[in-house]
Amino acid sequence: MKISDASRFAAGFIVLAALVAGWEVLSHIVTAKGSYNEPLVPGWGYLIGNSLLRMSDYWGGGFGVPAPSEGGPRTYAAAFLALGQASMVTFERVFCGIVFGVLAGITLGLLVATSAAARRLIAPTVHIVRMTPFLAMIPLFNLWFGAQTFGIILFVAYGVAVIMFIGTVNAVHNVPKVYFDRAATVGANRATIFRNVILPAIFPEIRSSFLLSFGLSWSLVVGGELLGAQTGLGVIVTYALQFAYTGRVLLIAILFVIYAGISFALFEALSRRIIDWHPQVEKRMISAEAARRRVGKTASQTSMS
Amino acid sequence: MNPSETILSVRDIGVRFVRADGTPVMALNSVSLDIFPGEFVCILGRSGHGKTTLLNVIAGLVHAQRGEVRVMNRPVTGPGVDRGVIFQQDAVFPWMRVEHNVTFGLRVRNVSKRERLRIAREYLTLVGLSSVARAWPRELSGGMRARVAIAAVFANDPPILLADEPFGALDYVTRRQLQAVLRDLWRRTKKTVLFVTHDVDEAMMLGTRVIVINNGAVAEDRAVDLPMPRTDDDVATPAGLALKHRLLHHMGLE
Repeated sequence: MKISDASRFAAGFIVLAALVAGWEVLSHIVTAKGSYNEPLVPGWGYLIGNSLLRMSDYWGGGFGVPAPSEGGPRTYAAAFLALGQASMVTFERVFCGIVFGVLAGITLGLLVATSAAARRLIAPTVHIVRMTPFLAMIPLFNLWFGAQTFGIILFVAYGVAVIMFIGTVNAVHNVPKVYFDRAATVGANRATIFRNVILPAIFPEIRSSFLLSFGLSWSLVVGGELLGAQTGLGVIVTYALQFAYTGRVLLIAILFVIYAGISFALFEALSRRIIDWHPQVEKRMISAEAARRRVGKTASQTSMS
Repeated sequence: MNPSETILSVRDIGVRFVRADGTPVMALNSVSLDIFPGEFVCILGRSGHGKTTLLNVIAGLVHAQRGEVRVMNRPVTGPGVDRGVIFQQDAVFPWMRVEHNVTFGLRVRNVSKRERLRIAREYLTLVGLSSVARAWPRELSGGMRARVAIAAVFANDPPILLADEPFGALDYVTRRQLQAVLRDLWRRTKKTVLFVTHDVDEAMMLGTRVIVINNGAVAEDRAVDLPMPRTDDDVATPAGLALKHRLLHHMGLE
């Protein structure tokens, strides 16, 4: 087991290294420049020496590191502080959005799946809402709730809630009837069935919806921040896009891949204990790992095109 | 037969299902039974002839359009703790450790934790699973999970036990072992058992009485006059073989 784990890790690492090297080679072949004289395929030297350093432009000063906008030098310290600050703002939005979205989605899903009255009342509305394309809702959220933190959190929460709602309803429908029958024959009431049968039985499927909504929440937060926000990683992308700073767009994209990967890994580690009982736990771990690798690969491919 | 002695009486039960294409199917047609305390009644029949439906009606899981089921002279309106069920499918909760599966019904009835633990130990020992009390069901074989289901239902101490082909999915040897486990627990606890099976040999090995259900009706109802506990040799006697032929005949063979 240990050897196969190591070799799997090594194989993944080799592919990643090949992609990094391939990108560098490509940057020497494709030397076309964008409208502001920025290379369209910036090599690693340019990315770190130029794009990363210029992130310091977004630093507003503090911690003894002067802001370049107030005459200070462009330093890596300022660049990392600027990225850290923007990341914290974006983190907060993603985190709050996930928390509210997960709570709302699971609650609504459980209501619709377990109560006939709730199903009749809210199911049609929820089903119409879930079919609306997320990004088409950004302008509406902007108008209603503003383009700043509150509106963005609501937008992320909305997207996450839709995913969690669908996942929860499906999960409850997939609980084998015999579990309900068994609970009924030992005299369990609704509350006991809810706590001891429905909640644990749906957890493995809910967990997949969690992972889906995690990935989605990072997209939604960028989408929300692209339009009119004053702070956050999406804002850096917006400015970089206006001046065709490919390097900065690419850096932020890589950052998002890293953040999404970390949030997946954290969730896996946290949920693994709760789901210890599940027969497919080992299979799921492997597939989640494969999914993580796919996310990393797709991001690199996207940035190349 | 004095009706006041019956622990379970089924009167004129009729169940009709409607197929997806709208055609009605009579699953049970005017079935009546009187079951007496301590009997081990095997309900024998071919697949799709209504034995599981009958058991589900008695369990209160399926509603009968006609007739009445009474347990200890009270009408059955739904599932109840007086009738424990061992299901055809694996109903062991995969998210509960073995001992918590066994004590689930006790927890529902707010039995104290100490008492629950004592009962779980007792029945897990009786079904031969005391060493895996803390294991997850996924770590057990199908036969061991069937043992968990047996321990769980006996731990609740229901006067009536309903078993719906509980060993149908198991290999021959495991099935024989579990038949012995169930028979020994029945002899020990003196419960009334209704055991649904399509296997004549299983019915003859376990039952004190065999009821054949054919086409949704009682085709035969007969006491098994063979010694208990029974061996293969007891069943292979002329009397045993005559009974087997008779049962098979009522099931529709020959």
